[in-house]
Amino acid sequence: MSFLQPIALAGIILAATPILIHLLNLMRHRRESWAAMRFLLKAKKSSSRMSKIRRWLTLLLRMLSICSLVILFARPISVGNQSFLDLATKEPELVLLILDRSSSMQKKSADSSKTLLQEGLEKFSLLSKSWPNSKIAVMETLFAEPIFLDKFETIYSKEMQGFIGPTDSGANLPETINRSLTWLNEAEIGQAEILVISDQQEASWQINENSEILKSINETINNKQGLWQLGFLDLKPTKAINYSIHCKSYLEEAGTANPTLLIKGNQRDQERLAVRIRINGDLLLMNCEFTYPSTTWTPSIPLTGHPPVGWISITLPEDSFPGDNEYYFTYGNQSILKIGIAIKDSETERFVVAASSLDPDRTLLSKNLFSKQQDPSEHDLLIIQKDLTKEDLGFLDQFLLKGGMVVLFPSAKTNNENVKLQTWSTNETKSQDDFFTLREWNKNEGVFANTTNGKELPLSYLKIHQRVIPQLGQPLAFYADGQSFLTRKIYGQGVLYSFSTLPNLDWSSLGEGFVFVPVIQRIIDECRQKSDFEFIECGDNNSLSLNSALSILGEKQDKPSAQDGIYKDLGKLFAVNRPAGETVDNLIVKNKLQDIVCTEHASWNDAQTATSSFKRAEIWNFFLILMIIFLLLEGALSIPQLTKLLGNSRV
Amino acid sequence: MALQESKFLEYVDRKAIARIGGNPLLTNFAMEGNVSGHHKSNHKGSSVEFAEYREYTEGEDPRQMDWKVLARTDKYFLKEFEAETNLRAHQVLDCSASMNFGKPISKLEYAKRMVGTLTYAYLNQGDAVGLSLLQASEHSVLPARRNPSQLHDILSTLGHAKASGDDQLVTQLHQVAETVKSRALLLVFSDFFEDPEIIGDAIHHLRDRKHEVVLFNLMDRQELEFVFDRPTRFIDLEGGSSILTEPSIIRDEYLKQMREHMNQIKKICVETQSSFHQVVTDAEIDEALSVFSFQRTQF
Repeated sequence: MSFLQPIALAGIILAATPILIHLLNLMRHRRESWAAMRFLLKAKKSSSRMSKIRRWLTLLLRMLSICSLVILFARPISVGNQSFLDLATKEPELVLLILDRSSSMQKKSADSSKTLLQEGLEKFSLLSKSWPNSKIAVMETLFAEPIFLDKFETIYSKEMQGFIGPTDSGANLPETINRSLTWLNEAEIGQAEILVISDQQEASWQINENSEILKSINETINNKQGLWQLGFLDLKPTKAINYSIHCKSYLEEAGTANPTLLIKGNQRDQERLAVRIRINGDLLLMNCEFTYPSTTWTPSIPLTGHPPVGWISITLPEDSFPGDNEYYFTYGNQSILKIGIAIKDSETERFVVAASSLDPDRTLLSKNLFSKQQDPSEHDLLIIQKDLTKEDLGFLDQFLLKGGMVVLFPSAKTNNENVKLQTWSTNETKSQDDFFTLREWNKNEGVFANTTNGKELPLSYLKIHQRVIPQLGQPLAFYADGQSFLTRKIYGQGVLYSFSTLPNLDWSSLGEGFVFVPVIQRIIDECRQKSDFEFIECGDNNSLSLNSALSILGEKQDKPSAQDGIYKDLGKLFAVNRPAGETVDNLIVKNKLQDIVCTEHASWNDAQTATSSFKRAEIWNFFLILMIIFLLLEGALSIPQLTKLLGNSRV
Repeated sequence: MALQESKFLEYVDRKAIARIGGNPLLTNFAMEGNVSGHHKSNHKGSSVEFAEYREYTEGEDPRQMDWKVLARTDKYFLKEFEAETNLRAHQVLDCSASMNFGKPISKLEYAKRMVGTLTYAYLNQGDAVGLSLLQASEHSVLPARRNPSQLHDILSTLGHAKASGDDQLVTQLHQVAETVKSRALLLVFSDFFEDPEIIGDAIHHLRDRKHEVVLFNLMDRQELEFVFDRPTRFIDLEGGSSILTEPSIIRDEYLKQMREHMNQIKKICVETQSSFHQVVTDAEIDEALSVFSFQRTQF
C-alpha cells in the first residue's frame, strides 16, 4: 500500500486529539456542590472495571476513526494482485508511458476543460505517484525513442515540450507499443507498468494494417506472465462544435490556385463559414456553404499580383478545436528542378548541358555555380568537374548533409582537396587503339537499370581511354578489370555520384549519349523525387528529413515533424500539414481491439474512473468504511448508557 | 432563598390549598384528640356513625341504653357510636446542609412551602399543628396547637430556618419520638441521605410511640438524573470533602446506589405502615401534595 498524497499522513498526529481533549477536560473540570455524596462515593468505589475498559475503548475507537480519516485523505492505493493489507512494496522496476502525440490529442476532453493530452498526463501522474521508487520512462508516437524522467514533474519543463508537447502529427500506436516492448526486452526490464494514453482514434491504430503487430504485442505481454502490465487509458474528446479542413487535390492554372478541400463538421446544420485565406500574408475572405456532415469546396484563389512562388493558408472559423482548422499550400514553379553546373572542361560541359536540358519546362540550368551572382544552396542538383577550393568543399559538405545531390567528374586536382567527399585513384590512360570496357552493372535498378521495354543500356559498347577510379561509394558498374565505373555514396541525407571518366572524346565515348543521357536523366528523376514534397505530412519521413527547415509562419523552434505550417529549406518553400487521418473523428471500436489484444495482463480504463480502476487501485473507500465502523462501535459503547439514562430519568 | 418576614404567608401555596382544601386530610390510625374533629378516635363517642352494641354493666351511663332492644328482648344493651376527634400533626423539617441543594429552589425552601401549606390545611380543619426543626446546633420545637395564631408562629419559624451543619435527622427523630407524648401524625421532610438502617430504627421508634409517620423525600432533579457533560469536582455540602470524577462513567453506579437506598427506606415504610412520598423540587407544590391528599381523603 502506498499513498497519492503522502503529505496528508502528517495529520496522523491528530489521532492524539481524543486523548488531549480527555486530559484537557480533566484539567478544566467544573466544581459542583453536592448533597448526595454518599451515593457518589459508593459509586466511585464500585465503579466497575468494565466502565474503565469502555472509556479507554471509546478513546481508542475515536483515535482509530481519526487515523482512518487521515489515511483516507492521503489516498491510499493498492496493487491489484496485492492485498491492500500487504504493506510490502512490490513496485515495478519501470513505469512506461506510451503517449499518443497526434494532433487529435489537442482536442478538449469531454470530462474537463483540459486537452486530452493534458488529461492523460495528469492521469499518468497519479499512476506514477503510486510507485515513487519506480523509474519513469516515456515513449511517444512521433520519435518513438524512450526518454527517462528523474521525476514525473520534469515532463512539464520547457525543455521537454519538444518531446512531450502537442504536435500536428499522426500516430501509429501498434508500432510504438511494439517498439516499446522491444526496448523493454532489450533493456531487460523485469517488472513494468505500461500505460497507453490515447484518444483511440481509428487512424492511430489501423487495426487491419497492424494486425500482425498487435498479435505480436499480445504474445509478448502473455509471455511475460504478468510481469508487464499493459493499461489503455480511454480518453473521450468533447462533442462541441468542430470543423476540420483537408485538401484532396491541388491544381494551379491561369494565375489561380484551385485546391479541392474537404470540410467536415459535427453540427447538423447548414452553415455559411467565413473562411480566411492568406496569400503570402495578404488576407482574402471567402464564404463556404457547409452542409453536414462534409462539404467539398474548391475555391479559386487569384495569384495575380503575388510573387511567382509563395504560400497560401486557408483557415476555418474558430471552434472547439482550432488545431484542424487550417491548411497550408505552396504555389509557383517549385516543381522546376534547379541544376547548377560547374564544369571546367568545355566539351564535358556541352554534353552535360545537352543531357540535362531535355525537359526545359521542368529543369532550370545555371552555369558558373560558384560565381558571386548565384546562391548554390538554392539548387537541387549540382554537377561538378573542376578543381574545388576549400570553401567549395565546405559548401558541398553542407549541401550533401542537408539532402542535396551532387554528380562529380574527375578533374586535375581530384586527388588533393576533395578527399573528404571522394578519393580518386591515379589517372590511367590507354593508347588510341586500346580502351577500357565495362562488363558488369546492375540491370535491375538504379541509373543503369534496363529500360521499361526491357532493353539494356549499351554500356558494353563504351570505349574508355582515360579513367580516374572513385574509391568511395557503392559501385554501380564495373570495368572488365573489376574497377568501379560509377559509384553512389550516401552522404548525410544527400547522395553523391562519382564518374570515373568524362564525356569527352579524349577520355571516352560516353559523350555519344546512349549511356550518358539516360544516366543523367535518371539522376535528375531521382533528385526530383527526393525534393518533391508538395504534400508533406507532419511526422512522415519527409518531414523528419526536413529537420533544418525554418518555419515562416510559426515559432523559430517549430519543426516540420511536429508542427504544421510553411517552412523554407534550401531556398524552397514547403507546406506541412497534419495527416489526413487526424481529421477523421472515428474512434476505434474497443471490442475490435480487445479481440486481438486479449491478454489478461492488458486492461482498459475509462479516464473518468481510471484512478480507481487501475490495477493499482485507490482503496480510500475501505478506510471510509473502516472509519464508519469505528464510529458505530464508539456509538454502540454509548448507546446502552443512553438507554439506561432514558429509563431512569424519572424515578 | 428565605422569604422576608412580611412575605412568610407565601409559604402557604394558595393553589395547593384550593386543590386539597375541599376534603379533610384524614389519618390512617385512630388519634387522641381533645376536641371533636374529623379523625377517628380510639374512644367511643356521640357521632352519627354506629360502632357496636355492648351489654350494660352497672354504673354505666344509662343514656346510651338502647330502649328499643330492651323492649323487644328485655335485656340491657348499650348502643355505642364512633368518636371523632382532632389530631396533632407534628411536622419535622430536616435543616441539614444537604437540604440547601437544588436549583432554582433549594430542597429546604421547597419543604418550607410544603410545611406552610399543610399547616394551613390542618389548622383549617381544626387540627393541632406543631413543628420541629432538625438543626445541628439546636432543635427548635413548636408544640402542636390548634390556635389560629399557630400558623403565624410556624410560618415565622420556617422563615428563619436555615440549612446548615451535618445531618442530625436520626438522632433528632428519636428525640421527637420522646418529646411528642400523645399520638400524632408525624410529617418528616428530609432528603434521607443517611443509613437506611438507622433511619428505620428511628421510624420504628416513632411507630412504637403510636405515631403515624409520613416521610416526604425531597429530591432535586439533578440528584435523580445525575447528568453532567464533563469531569466535575463534587464538593460535599455537609462535610466539605470533595471528589473529582467523570460523571458519565459512574452515573450508572450512582443511580443504582440511589435506587437501592430509596428502596430500603420504602421497604421500612411498608413494614412500619408508614407512608413514603418522593417529591421532586421542580414540581408544583399542589402537584406534590395532591398524591398525599388523595390518599388521606379516601378513608
